[in-house]
Amino acid sequence: MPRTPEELSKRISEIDLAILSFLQAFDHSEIQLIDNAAGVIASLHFEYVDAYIKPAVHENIDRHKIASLTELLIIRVQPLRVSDGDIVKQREANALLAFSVAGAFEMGLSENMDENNLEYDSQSPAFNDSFAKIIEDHISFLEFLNPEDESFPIVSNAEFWRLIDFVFQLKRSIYFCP
Amino acid sequence: MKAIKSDIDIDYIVKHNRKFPNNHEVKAANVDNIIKPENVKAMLKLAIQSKKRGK
Repeated sequence: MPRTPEELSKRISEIDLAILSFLQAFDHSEIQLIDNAAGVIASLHFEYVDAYIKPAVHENIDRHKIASLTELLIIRVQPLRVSDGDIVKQREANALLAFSVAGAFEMGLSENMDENNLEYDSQSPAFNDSFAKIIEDHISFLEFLNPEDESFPIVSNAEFWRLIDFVFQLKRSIYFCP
Repeated sequence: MKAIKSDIDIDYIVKHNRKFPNNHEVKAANVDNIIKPENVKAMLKLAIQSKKRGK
């Protein structure tokens, strides 16, 4: 459980704002948001942190585990629903939402990821193609996870985010130290 | 809604007092507004561009 009601409230507001920001950019009229999506995600978040993460860390929880948890809880809850009942559209939309929110969480705490650094450029087509494939596959992985499954790969998925951050760290170091 | 289980053996971790290696990151709970709206949109743009490149 959260340490204080303020902590829960802060988490709910943050997730709520993230989902609404996503929906502003991902403008599909058939997509609907379920009631209290952020509240459900935030409650599950604290439940999971207490049960599975806190006992396994010394003090602070690294951002990659929190990004991973946030991402997979969105897959669990499927906050976006499609009015025509198309399950593929729904899974795809929730996978994009999960990736966008988790990545934004990483960006908020990372020195390596910023809006400019995220852009594909013309300097290294081979790098860009490989990186795009990794992101594309990851989004498919999120779509293909069964939201009803009992066990979710939170910790192994956290290593994906750690490596993505590392790729951006390398990208930065190459650009700043040619 | 039911919580989810982890992919790590938490019973083993607690019983044998094992921990992930220490890290010295900023405590996320101490930072306000980590998830910024513009970053959500930037990540969505990255996702869409990545899907297009793959085609």
